[in-house]
Amino acid sequence: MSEISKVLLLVGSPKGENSVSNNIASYILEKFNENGVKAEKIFIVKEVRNDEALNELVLQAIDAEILILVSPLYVDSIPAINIKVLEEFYKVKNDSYNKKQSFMTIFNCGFPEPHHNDLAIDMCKKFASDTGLKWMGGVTIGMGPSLEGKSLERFRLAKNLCTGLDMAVDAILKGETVPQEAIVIASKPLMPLTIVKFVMCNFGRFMWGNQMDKSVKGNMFDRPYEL
Amino acid sequence: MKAVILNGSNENENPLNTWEKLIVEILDNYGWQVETVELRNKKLATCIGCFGCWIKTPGECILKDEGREICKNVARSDLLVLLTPLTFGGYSFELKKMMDRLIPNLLPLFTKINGEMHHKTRYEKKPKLLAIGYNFQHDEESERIFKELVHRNALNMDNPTSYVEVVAGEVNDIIVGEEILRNIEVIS
Repeated sequence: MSEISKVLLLVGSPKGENSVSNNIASYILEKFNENGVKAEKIFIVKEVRNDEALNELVLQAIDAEILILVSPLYVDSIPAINIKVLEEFYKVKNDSYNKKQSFMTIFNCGFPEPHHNDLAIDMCKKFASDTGLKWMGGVTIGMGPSLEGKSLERFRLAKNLCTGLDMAVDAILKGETVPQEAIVIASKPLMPLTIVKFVMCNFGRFMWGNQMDKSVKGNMFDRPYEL
Repeated sequence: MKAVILNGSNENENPLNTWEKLIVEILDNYGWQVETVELRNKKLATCIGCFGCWIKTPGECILKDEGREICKNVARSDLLVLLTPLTFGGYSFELKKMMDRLIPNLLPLFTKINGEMHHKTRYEKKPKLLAIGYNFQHDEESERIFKELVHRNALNMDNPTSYVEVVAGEVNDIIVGEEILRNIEVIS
């Protein structure tokens, strides 16, 4: 039985429950729960709407022994709503608290190359350092949207991701540091990059064209602003 | 020529607000038409990640607040100036909420730059980028992250040139002013 008392997963996608981040967080949550560890999941987007809810979220985050942020990448960085939480956490933690906590992050982006997430991971590592949290590492995932609405366990392309996350959870349960090997395995590209890049560059117009609303089909390249 | 200044300062008492005035004055002297946006005073929603600006109202955010107007002005600008306190090496919440809202000016399609995937831009015209970060004390890692972030943003927004400055520790407004002037002389 693990001695870990409380794990909190922060789902940092503005899309909330219908997000890839939630998919990944749910997978991790289940792994902890299977092992008898109390793990909770909070959707940041629901809690940043007012100061009271935000404050409550920050207090819950400060109370957790293991804090895991699962987030998409927005504009090379952490989405604004998550920065808000980190800023508030920093203020409260520095003012009043001195508890042993560990922090891990998992970022996913729409680009095929996982390394686009590296800077967001660096910022989270800096946040951990500035707030006195023990840094456990950051997983980077490319082609995030391909995980949308899928069970990670049953999705063949997510095999490495699941293996790496399993290793990370096992280590956390034993009270150990997340091994670098787990981060490396979980961060492997879902598919060979050469193939994905070729498809995205050459068939992107068709793929996005299919997602366009009927009323604006063919308007993908619109320039609504006169320059 | 048009410049837009996005001031991501979290508070009224901050050196960034003094520098904003300095930048306006310098740009004005060089004949620029300047719009300043103090983001903390704007009611801006955060991006909801719906991709509506690509698939429902191409080129425009579906959120009908001041973010739309700012996005339009950035698209029309020749120079985009970002001012922010360094926040774990990145932008403050105030600045980031607007940066996230600039994606209507990009296309969903991809292109390769130096072998790496990036979005294509919607408009041929792209502003130059000047980013100035303030840190209350010197911190090498924060400064490295910030410079790299601005560089990555410039790649993704396809800014023709980008300039980045980090001012840390005790601030001498005269020295900062000279630095800003030097940057703007290069840009102009």
